[in-house]
Amino acid sequence: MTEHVGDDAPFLSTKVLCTALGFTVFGAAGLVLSVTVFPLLYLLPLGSRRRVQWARSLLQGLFPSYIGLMEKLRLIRVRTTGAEALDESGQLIVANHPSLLDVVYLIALARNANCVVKTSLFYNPFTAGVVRAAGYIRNDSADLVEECAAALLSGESLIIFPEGTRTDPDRPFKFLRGAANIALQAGTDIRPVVIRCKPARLMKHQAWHEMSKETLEVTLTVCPPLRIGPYTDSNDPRPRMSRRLTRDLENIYLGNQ
Amino acid sequence: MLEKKDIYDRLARMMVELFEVDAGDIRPDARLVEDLDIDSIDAVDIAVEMQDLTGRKIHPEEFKEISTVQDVVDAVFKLASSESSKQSA
Repeated sequence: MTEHVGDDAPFLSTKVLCTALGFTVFGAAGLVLSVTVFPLLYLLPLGSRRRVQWARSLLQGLFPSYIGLMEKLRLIRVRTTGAEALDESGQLIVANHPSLLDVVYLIALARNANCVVKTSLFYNPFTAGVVRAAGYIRNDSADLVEECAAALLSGESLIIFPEGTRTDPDRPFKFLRGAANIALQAGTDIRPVVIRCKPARLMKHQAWHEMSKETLEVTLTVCPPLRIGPYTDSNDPRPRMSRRLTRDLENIYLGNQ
Repeated sequence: MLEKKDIYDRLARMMVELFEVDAGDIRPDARLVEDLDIDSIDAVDIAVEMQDLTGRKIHPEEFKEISTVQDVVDAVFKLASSESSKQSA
C-alpha cells in the first residue's frame, strides 16, 4: 500500500473492493451450496438424472441474481441478443472465452446445460460441490468426445469453449477441434454464442485487480445455428471434416468482431 | 520385414490426405502438436492406421511419450519388430 498511486486511487480502491466482493460472494455461495442444498439433493429419493437436472435448474436460477449483483456493483453491464434460442435444450452451445464469467452468463441462459470444465474445478473447494452436483464433464476425460455426444443425444445442452482456455489477446484466435468432433459424432447443429467485452478485462495475464475505470460492457450474441447436415452428409473423411467445421466456426467469431 | 521408410511414407501420406498437413512441413523432427496441428483425436486415427501396418493393437497410451514424426516411426518400428520376432519364435 506504500506504492505511488495517482488521482484515481479512491475510485479504483472502491472498484477493487467491489471486485473482491464479487469474487467472495461467488466463492462463498459455492461453498454454502456445497454443504447445504447439494448434499440435500443427494438425500432426496431422486434418480441421478433428475438430481443433476435439479442442480442445473438451481444454478440457472441463481446465476442471473449473481449477474444482477455484479451489475449493481457497476462491475459489468450485460446485454444479450437472441437469448430465447438457448431455452431449448439438446443444443451444442459453443462460445469464445474472453472473460472469467462467460460460463456464468451461459449457464444463466441455457436450459439443462451440461458443460465441459477444467478437471481442477472438481477439486477446488469453492467449485467442487457445484460441478459435481451438476454432473459436468471433465476436460481430461479419456472418452471426452463420446461422453459429450452422449450428453447431447440424451437431450441435454452442452456448453463448450473450444479455445480450451481463456482468450489470449497476444495469440491468434484459434479453436481446438473437440467441439467440431462432438458435433459430427452426435450429428447435432452448433449454436454459436459470440461474447465481446469492452474494455478487455479479466483477460488472461491480467490480475483481477488490474482494471480500468469503466464498467465492463459485455455483449452476448446468440447466433443462428450452424447446420451439421452439410458436413455429415459429405463423403470426406472425418478428420478433414472436423477441420473444415472448425474453420467455419472460427470464421463466425472472426466475422463478428 | 517392415522398414522405417515404409512407416514414414505411410504416416506422411496419411497426414497430407487426412490431416491437411502441407507435405513440405513433414520432416522427421517436426512436432506433431505444435508444428503439424495434430490433436489427440488425430492420434487415435494414427494409432488405428499404424495398427494396420504392424498387425498389433496400439494403445493411445503408447503415444504419450511421442512428440515428433520420428518418434511415431520409431515406436511403430519397435512394435512391428517385436511382433515379427514373436511370430518367428
